[in-house]
Amino acid sequence: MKMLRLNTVLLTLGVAMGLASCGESASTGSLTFYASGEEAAEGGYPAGDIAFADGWTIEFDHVMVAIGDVVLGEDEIAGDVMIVDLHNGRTELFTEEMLAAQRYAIGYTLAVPTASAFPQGPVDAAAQARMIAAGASLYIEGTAMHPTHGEYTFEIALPRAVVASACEQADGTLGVVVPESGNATGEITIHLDHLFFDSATAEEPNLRFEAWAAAAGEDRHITMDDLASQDLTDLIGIDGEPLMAGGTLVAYEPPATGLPSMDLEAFVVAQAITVPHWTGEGHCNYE
Amino acid sequence: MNRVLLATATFLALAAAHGCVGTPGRRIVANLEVGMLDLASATRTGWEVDVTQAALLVSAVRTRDVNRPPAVAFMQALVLAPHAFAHGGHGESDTTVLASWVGSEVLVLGEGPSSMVLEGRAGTTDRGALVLGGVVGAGDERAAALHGLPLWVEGTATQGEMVVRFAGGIPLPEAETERLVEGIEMAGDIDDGVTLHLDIDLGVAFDAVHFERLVAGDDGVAPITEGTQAALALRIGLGDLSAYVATVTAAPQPAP
Repeated sequence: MKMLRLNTVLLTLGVAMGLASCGESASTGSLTFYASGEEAAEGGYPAGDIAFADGWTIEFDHVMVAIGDVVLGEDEIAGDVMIVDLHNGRTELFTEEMLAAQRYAIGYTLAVPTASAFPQGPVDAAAQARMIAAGASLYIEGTAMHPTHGEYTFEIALPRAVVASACEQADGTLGVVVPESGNATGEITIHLDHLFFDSATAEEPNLRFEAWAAAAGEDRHITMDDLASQDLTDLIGIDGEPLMAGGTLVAYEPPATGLPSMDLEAFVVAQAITVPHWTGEGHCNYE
Repeated sequence: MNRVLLATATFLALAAAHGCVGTPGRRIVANLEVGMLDLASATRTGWEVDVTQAALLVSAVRTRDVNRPPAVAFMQALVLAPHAFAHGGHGESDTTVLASWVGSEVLVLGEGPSSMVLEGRAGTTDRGALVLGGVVGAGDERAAALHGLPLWVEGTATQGEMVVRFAGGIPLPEAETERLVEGIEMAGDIDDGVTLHLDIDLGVAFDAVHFERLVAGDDGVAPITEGTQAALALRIGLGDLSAYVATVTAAPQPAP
């Protein structure tokens, strides 16, 4: 009888441990989602100690992202696509209540919006229409300035969805912990500096803009199509000569997985896929 | 009966945990062959390139597990040491390495493939990675072919009446992440005795070189040195996945 009790305890304990390893919990809490483009989305660059290596400054007019398919654990908790303009500051997206208090994996999608996408927070209707017309999950308009080269306007449109999954906190822990009887916050953080990096592989790449400006036509307005005219193996400066910095040719280092074409548009698209983060500096898997 | 109960408890605990953790594969030892070819001769810059001498240093080959259970990723992130995802999901850290070789090998054009050993777990791979450069192994007689650089090339480029004899090499960054070629298609089952063969078509790396910009020296040979467009284009060209072709060949069957 004593042995039977021990075995019953073992049996119960075994099942409980197995279930616990899958993260089951009975108590509940809530989770509030935000989206942010950090200081740069509002004030441009330089931002803090982040500045362009070639002397350009940037101001943004719109930093728009379309967010959908937010996944918590294995459940989709927000499927409808919402558009936020992060130039207007950090935006609350929604709060999910009555969640089991535990750690959750987090995923979300930068989605290509359709007319059914709804604005979240202040969003300029005309800019939203341009974003939808461009079929862009990330749509940015801004102005770049240089003391010698003057002003250029630019328009960045990421023409594809980006699925961010298995997002980590900056400390490497997975997703988010919903506390018992408390509220956790999580933030879809957009790192705009990645768009202007000159390397997809270096630990500390430089931010550069002259290759972008040199791609513009006489209207001094830069589009993704313009960027396609810059060959990464033969970048041209505003003066029409090979783009140099410090006496050497400027090189943009493509990602280790290569690019579909070796031009600046393909590079920027590849970089744009890496802009979504989780709660500041946390990374995700991107597809 | 007691043993049955105890076994049941253990089984249930393991089974429940199994749903979250998955089962690692069996340890295997396979063959790795890496060779260098010069197949692509026509460049998009309008040159016909004939590479007569080339040497390339490589230091790792990794195959990716195509069947990494998501639950394993979850448990690794939750329980094991945290791992950083490379930006863009381009890093291997967001996958599980199935089998790998790590070392130092100088590939020399025309000498046939080098043979190494691939160790890891049995499983199916779809893609893999190659680490270029690294540190030359002590006493490696083929190191001279590198001329002190991780890539050395010599040859002739022709465009109509123009003929450019070239010779030179490129350095590679110290950080492994900056000399990694990732996403190479290498579909197949990795198991004991199989052979993973990887060919590197060096001709692809020349695709964007503007040979007309090279300046010939007194000996009539145009040096490719760091800072030239040719060196930059070679460096970027080495990252072109179309330069890498891998096949997995099953282990030979024992004679009956």
